[in-house]
Amino acid sequence: MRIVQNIKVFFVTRILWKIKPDLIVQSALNFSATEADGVWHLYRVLENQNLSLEKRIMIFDQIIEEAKHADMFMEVANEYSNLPVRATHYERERIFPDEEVQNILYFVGVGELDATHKFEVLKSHLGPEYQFLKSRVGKILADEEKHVDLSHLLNKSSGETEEQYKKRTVLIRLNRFKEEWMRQARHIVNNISSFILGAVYFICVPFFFLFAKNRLKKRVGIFSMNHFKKLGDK
Amino acid sequence: MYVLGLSFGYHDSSACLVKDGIIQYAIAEERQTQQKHDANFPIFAVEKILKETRISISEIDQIVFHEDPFNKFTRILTSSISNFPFSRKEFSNSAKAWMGKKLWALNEISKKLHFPIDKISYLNHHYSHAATAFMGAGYKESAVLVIDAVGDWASSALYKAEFDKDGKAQLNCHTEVSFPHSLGLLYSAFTGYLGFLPNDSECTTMALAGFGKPIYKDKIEKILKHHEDGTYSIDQRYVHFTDFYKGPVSKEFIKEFGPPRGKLKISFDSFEIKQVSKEEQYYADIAASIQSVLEDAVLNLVRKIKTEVGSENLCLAGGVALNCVLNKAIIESKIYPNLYIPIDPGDGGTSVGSALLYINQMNPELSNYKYQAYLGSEGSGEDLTEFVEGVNPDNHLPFLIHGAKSKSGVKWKSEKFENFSKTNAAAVKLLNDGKIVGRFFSRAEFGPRALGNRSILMKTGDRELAIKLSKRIKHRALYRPYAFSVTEDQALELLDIESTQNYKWMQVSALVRSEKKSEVKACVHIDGTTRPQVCHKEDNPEYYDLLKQFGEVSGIEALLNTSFNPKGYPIVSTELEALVMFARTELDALILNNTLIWKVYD
Repeated sequence: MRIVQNIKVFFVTRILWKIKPDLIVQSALNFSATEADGVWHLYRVLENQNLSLEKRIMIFDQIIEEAKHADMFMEVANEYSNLPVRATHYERERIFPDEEVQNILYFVGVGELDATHKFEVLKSHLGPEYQFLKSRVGKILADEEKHVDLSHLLNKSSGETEEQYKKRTVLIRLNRFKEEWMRQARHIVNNISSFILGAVYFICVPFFFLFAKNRLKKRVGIFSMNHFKKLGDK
Repeated sequence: MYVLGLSFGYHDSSACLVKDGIIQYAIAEERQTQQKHDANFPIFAVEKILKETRISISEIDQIVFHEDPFNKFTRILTSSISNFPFSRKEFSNSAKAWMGKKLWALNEISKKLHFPIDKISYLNHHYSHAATAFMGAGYKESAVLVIDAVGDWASSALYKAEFDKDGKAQLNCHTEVSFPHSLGLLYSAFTGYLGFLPNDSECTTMALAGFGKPIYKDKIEKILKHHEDGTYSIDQRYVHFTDFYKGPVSKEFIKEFGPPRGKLKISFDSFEIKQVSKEEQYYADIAASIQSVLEDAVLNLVRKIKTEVGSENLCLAGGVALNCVLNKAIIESKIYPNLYIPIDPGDGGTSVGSALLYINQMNPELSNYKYQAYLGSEGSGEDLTEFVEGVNPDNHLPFLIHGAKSKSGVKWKSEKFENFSKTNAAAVKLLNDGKIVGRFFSRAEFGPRALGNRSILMKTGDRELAIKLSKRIKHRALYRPYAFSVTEDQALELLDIESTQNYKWMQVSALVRSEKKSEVKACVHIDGTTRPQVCHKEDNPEYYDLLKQFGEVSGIEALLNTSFNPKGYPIVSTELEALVMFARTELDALILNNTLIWKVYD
């Protein structure tokens, strides 16, 4: 896996980012959104008043660190962009419908571990032209390594055995793998549909574009229905 | 009868629950997801509403969606087709987004909320805005003007609204100005050109306008043409409204106005006149010019609606109604003696208007539609004193927000008080000592403005403190001014206004009386204006008491009031979010309902 990741990061940083510098901005925004998403999940845990005070304070501290990381990646995006940047938004969803604290903590813990590996690889491939990003990733990496330990500590303090911990980790990993696979599948479907719609555009649109042009010339009038409707109403 | 209004899909998703004509709850999705202007389906907002009002989805009689997805899709498609053969990307991306998801908004509501689709209604976007404006105004009849970027097809719409003899609201559309002619989009395009985020930072363009002179109006009026019938048109050669992937402005625009601001630093300061570079002054003059052109165009529409609809009352809605300088111009024009702007005139507010209108159409006798601002979440109400005692602030020093200074050895102290009056008394002491205090109290405000319950407060006359607030807490540019809250009793002494009726919700800017400027100098913009909140006792007695008590020790019943949110995030919605911001910034103290938390340095 490490080799695959190395090849992927090499390709992205040495080739894609050079051809299309906007991609570095998008990557930074995605990293920032991922950190912010982690914060949002941790808030769900923190709001659980049944947790021990000690655990809640540890989570509180972790939220503060993760929030800083989200800010740092926004700084990176701003640094490499000539235009104002808009934060990437995720469609928030509960990872586990029952919101079980332990599951969320495991989920966050595994995420931290993966992020640490990803940042390590990324840092090793960044040349001097990416000094700003490299310094930020270095700082974040140091914190993330600590977080991995923290997540492990929090999970172990719940009284679960090492075996139970491993079992849960495997399940969460499988879940993440499924999600990643779905993401890639969506990406492929997206590209195929772009291709098909591109063909539709050149084949069908010529018959309608004069109509569209004319429609946009209508400037003043009443263009909308002004009453309630339901699906199926005419 | 329970009706749930929903708004989502473009920006500022929200949900609103109305029971028998009275709003129970209205909340923006962004407050639940911590993503500013979140456009996603407001699932967490709905869950919050159902949880806090203790009702189940099966008890809801009707759901109302704020726009017509089918009509909107025809507009998006028409727009992308019209630029053939140069709009393949727009066509492909729009078709994917709409056919994959947005077109099926009603089905999505039904599926996500497990709600029968035959009990879901929808209405057009501007009609929702018009309902939002009129239903809460308290007028029997009114002219209604809706101006935003774009709805289904319309970008501006003029309505005549009245309650008929049965109490049913009749909203009759007189005229719509159709996309791509849009005042909102033009202002956003200039916002992008000036180096700010379109559809987000229009208030920054408005703030920058205060430093400029409208000397480029003639140039902008080549793009925006005023017509004799009171409407306007936009010359599409200068903008990319139908092919937005190319950026907000065209090559033609750049030829006329020069390169966009890009990363040029803006060193204006709202507190003092500074020497700035020619380039900076140029962009400020452009901002002033587009602001002035916008005001002219809207005043033309106001005159038109006065001629066609009459009435002494005007209701205003749509995102453009968030422009407080424009609203000042409308009041000063005296075309209408009475003006009403709903608490959230933007898209977030349409969930409220559509739900209120539906109930009215079904049960006209339930007609108590006037509402106040505090319609949001209450927070958990958790006692955090023990938690606060356990926190070690030194752990947070490397993770403070950009600009905040690390000071080790800080301790957090807290005290719980019996009632709000005693909490206020303790907070007043800190405020008068020059401390910056966050206030999280009771229910949150609906809409974009913090009106005391999710606010950061400090005294109004200390510029150095305001600079600290900008640099180390809010992390915002010094050219963006602050505003203040003032009691209804002292408002007319401080502000050069005739009455306080339009100033409850920070929607209209006003001149500060020159003899009083020194007392509120931290909240006066370079042009001598501020965007005040006049606090009436009946609207928020606890906040009113705080202002009163502050007045007793300082002589001025006013406090600088800015929204309680970290940069780039929505206003805090839980006590714990407030506490995290307290930890990450140089906020000196925090009011969490009746608990006061403050920092003590070694």
